[in-house]
Amino acid sequence: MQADTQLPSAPPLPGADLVDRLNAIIETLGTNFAGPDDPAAFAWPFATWADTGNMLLKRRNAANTAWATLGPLLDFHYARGNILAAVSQAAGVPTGGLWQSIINANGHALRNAAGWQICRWRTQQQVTDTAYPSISGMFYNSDPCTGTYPAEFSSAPHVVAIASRENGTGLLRITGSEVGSGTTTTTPQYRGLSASSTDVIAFHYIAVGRWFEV
Amino acid sequence: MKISFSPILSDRRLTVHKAGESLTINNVLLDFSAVPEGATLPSGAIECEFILGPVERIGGQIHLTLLLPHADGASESALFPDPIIDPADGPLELPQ
Repeated sequence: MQADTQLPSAPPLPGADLVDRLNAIIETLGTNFAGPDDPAAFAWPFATWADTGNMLLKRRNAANTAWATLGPLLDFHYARGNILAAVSQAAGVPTGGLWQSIINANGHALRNAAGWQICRWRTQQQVTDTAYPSISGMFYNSDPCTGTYPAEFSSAPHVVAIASRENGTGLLRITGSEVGSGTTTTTPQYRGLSASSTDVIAFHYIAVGRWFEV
Repeated sequence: MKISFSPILSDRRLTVHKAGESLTINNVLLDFSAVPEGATLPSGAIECEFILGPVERIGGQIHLTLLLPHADGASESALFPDPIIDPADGPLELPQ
């Protein structure tokens, strides 16, 4: 609103008119003269104008002769309270927090405002219970290990994974490889190789990709 | 029927309706009544991206896992969901 912020000093000013004028003044000041028209006639030095004509926030100079532009009217300013928040974007421009942390039953994920996402956790477990056909004494998991990411990617991420024995420690004897492609929601499929037919294995992974495309 | 869940932060929407041993997932009907005892239906054989892993019949009961999309600020029950066992026919109440 852009009302005259000065009450007339000359009587008469009936009570009902005074209430209306005061309400208009309060709204005008409470919204920083929000409107498209230059409120210079009502303003004073260092008054603030929410210029909706071009969506800029402006401040009157000390001489009360011109407006200085402070910045975008509805710009988003980061502070300690909103750096960690749900990230979002519109046409690649951040509209939410800078960093978002996700923890659920499928692991940990970190998203940032630039569109990158990192997930870490482990696949489900499988047993190396199947004899490897061409190497005597070696066994693998016929059911591949796979897992669900804690947060969805916008395209299949790059994944680094390593096999791990999950039923105890012992000799380092498990290796593995990717045997099936992953998706935006699930890790690649992995099989491991072991000298034991009873090893329980899983693949611990780090996946790096994007949560929106540019 | 035992339905387990695998949570994921995602904008996807999931609706599930149960009728006997059939599930309608996002308007796609999937009938598991023909899965015999001890058999495993691999996930690759099921044209539904919300079904993870195989569908099995164990002890007469169908076991399956569904991808469970959740939003930021989801409840603990959605982030770490418990399985639903023998749900009643009708719309499935999913952890939010």
